[in-house]
Amino acid sequence: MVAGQGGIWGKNGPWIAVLPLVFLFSLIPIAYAQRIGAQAPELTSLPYFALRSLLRMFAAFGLSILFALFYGIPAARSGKAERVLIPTLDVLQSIPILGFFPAAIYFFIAISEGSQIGVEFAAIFLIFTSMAWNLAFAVYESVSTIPADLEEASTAFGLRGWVLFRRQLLPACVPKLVYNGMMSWAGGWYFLVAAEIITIGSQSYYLPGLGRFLAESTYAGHFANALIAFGVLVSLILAVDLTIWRPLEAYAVRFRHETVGGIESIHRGRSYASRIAGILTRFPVPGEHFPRVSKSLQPMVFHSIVTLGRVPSRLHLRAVLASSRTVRIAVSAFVISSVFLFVYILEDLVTTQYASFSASVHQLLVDPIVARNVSLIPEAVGLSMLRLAIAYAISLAWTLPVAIKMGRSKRAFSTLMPIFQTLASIPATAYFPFLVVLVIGLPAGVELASILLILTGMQWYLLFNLVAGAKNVPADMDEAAKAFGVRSRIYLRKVMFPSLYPSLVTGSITGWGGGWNALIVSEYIVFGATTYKVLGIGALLDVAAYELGSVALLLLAVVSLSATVIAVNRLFWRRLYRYVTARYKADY
Amino acid sequence: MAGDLPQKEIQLPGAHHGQVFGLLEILDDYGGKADLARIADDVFLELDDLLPASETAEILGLAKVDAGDITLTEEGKRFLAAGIRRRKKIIQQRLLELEIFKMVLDFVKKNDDGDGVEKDKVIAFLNSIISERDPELCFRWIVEWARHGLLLRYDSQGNRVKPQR
Amino acid sequence: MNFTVEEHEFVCLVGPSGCGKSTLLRIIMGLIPPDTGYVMYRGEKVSGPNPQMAMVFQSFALFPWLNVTQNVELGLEALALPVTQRREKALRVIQEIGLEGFEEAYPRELSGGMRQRVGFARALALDPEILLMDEPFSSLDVLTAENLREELLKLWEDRSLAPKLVVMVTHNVEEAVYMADRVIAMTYRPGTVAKDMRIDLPRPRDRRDQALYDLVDNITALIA
Repeated sequence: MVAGQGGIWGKNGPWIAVLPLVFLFSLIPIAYAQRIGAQAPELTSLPYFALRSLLRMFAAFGLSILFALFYGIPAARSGKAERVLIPTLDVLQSIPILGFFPAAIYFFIAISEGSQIGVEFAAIFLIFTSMAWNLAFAVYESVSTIPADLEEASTAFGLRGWVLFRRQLLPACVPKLVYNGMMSWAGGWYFLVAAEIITIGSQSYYLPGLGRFLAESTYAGHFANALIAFGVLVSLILAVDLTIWRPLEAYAVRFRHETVGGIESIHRGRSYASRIAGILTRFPVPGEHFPRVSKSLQPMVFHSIVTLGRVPSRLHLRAVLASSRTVRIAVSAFVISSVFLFVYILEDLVTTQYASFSASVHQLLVDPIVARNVSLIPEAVGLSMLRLAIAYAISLAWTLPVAIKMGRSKRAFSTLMPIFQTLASIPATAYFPFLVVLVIGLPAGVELASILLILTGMQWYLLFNLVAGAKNVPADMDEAAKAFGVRSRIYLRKVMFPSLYPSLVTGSITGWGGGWNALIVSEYIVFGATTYKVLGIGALLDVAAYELGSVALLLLAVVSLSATVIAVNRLFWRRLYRYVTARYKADY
Repeated sequence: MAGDLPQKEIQLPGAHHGQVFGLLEILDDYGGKADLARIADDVFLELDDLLPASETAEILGLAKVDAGDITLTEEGKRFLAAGIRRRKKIIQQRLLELEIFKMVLDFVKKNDDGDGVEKDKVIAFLNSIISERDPELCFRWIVEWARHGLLLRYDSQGNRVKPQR
Repeated sequence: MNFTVEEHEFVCLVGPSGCGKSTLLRIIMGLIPPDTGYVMYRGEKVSGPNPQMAMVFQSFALFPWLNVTQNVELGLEALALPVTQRREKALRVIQEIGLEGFEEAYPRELSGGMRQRVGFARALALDPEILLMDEPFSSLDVLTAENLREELLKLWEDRSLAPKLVVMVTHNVEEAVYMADRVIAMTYRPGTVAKDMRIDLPRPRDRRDQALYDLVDNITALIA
């Protein structure tokens, strides 16, 4: 990562930034000249839609940051607050975006009586839910890990209030906020479609936006339009990356707590701007040139990659483990029941205008279709897990050898990494339609498509974590192995794999997190006039929301999914994580 | 290579000023002259650990090393008796007598575009005159001592080396 | 434990690790409340940190994202002093501590000795009456530590700058005897004082003075 060459914009700096900036700003006059109502997905409305989506993303992101600070800082500074806030965050994180539909509809849309502003707020809220929890964890972790001596110094010198926030708390959060911010940002794009078309059964609310444009184009079979929209999306992502994220990454370097002392460590990373145009440096690259320097980078990478997915990292793990089991169960029960309660209360207020909750519960019991779906929940969960396992196996099958190769060969790394980084930053949901076209004709096409789509949500987490692990084979072990002419297979077993185990577990945890996320868009695919679905919990959620409009079923499915995710995390992944880090811990 | 300073003529500090001054203070306790190995023993260091500081002290003319003995020079004695301000002045004068500092200072002054000189340019310049050593490391030492001697300023955010006002 | 300190004393708390000397320092500072007893400062009980007491830390405790000037003026900023005033004060202290030339440098560019100087400057910028130091030289190499000790002693003797009272914690008995007017030696049992003695050697002291060695041996035997 080039921290200092030519300042914040990189060596070829201003020129790289100009093009995307021009593009971004040209959107505004074009969009203004073509303000259109929320109906037709025509190509001419694309700039305006793109701008609206972008603004939506920025609004949601801004709100997420504010939330993260207001939530994470108290959680980190007060033991009492921590015991309630963190488990709550845990639960919130496991609820898929669809689970927030009812809240979105009843709070924003109902109260504003279906006006465009209300729907817009609802959409921003939904995107917010895919960004905020991760950021809150980032803040919490950052403030929790402020070195003890700095905290003492703050107290000793009387830092409080605004000065404390500005000089101590906020700067401490910057590195993790930037890294996790990038992840959250990407996550926002991932669910853009879901946020711009809010549907419960027969009620649908549409917003002008890129996601909706993409969805409608594919529904209508206008593939050319879809492709163009996809192109616009990619350019938008690249533009924002180059003009905002990359400079921010470089800027964030100075906020690290230095472990390398004395004469400033020499950072001689090649300017990525000199690479193929449009390639991004999303993930910091540990150990590429200076293994010694990378030792201080490693914890950073570890923590940031670990907080990518919906599974919390080692640190807040301790906080949650510290809180008693009863508290956790109580909190989960509380959150879930409050969701029901809110809906019920609000339903009271809006009985006249919207499908009533009681009717929907009644529906649950009476309507055979809905009732059948409820009974399918356990089976659906099982099948979804099976699909996840298969996707996981496939991911592992290709990421493991590739990661090892990239770890051992500098050339492989520098060629492949930018490619993977670019691919990873494009939300898979945007190119789903194209994947589906390719696969749907094959036997068991739907299942295959489903698994492939889940794959796209999983593999990057796995890959990048594994690469980080492969690159961090302790330099001296590596040298010793080479010096003694240790043969490949033994090398793999004794040197590479132990180094990989922690990363493998972390990657798997976050990969599965991404997989759970992907279920709702992978198991239920609308394509042209057909809807393809498989039996799974993600599909069930979509069915409840888009087909049946049954809030009760939706909530039941959400609860089942969340409960499953939390259960798997607690009972399996965390145990494995603790075991592996205890045995194979690299000393960072 | 033309313009190269022969290796043995490169006189570049290799220790932090705290270490050099600390050595001088300790030497003073011995009455101004002592066997380096003895000092090393007394402070529980290896002789090798003392060498960067003693060499730098010598380069700056504050001490002299001769057959394993280190002696305070007159300048060194004056240095120790001086206050912080005066000490900086002395260091400044001593640095200006070192070839490499003169060259770097001249280079910076000549190439100052109003906002100093880019770090990479200075390193490239260093590389052209001392090809046998790590130019980046040399740069670090030069900047540290030049800052201390109030000869140069360095903006680490923008990577620009600037002359002292 | 029970003791009183006067103005113009350089007091050292010596003892092996675990004897509670660092904790005691923090109690004096007001960072930790005492389990029993109290600390009185100018006739009032100490209940929290106050700007008349400033601390220097063993690990320097500098803010990596602030440059030297910003680190030094941190305490002044917390007191809501206006920018021009605190900037002026900070720059002056930076000069006096010997860091002139490094005002815009960041901690990662500084050697350990320079970082601790920033630590000193930050504390002294508050013009505190009491300077509390927690093993300030322990993280430095021998030579640099020597240098900083001498400079600190010079500042102490030049009364215009120095605070009126210095309390230093260290496990290095020689350092304590060399620097202090008064040594309070603690034993390995937490909170017990072995001896509270004045060091009457004239300044500037000679490290290799036999009298100094004797005192060092004396005290070392007491705390063992």
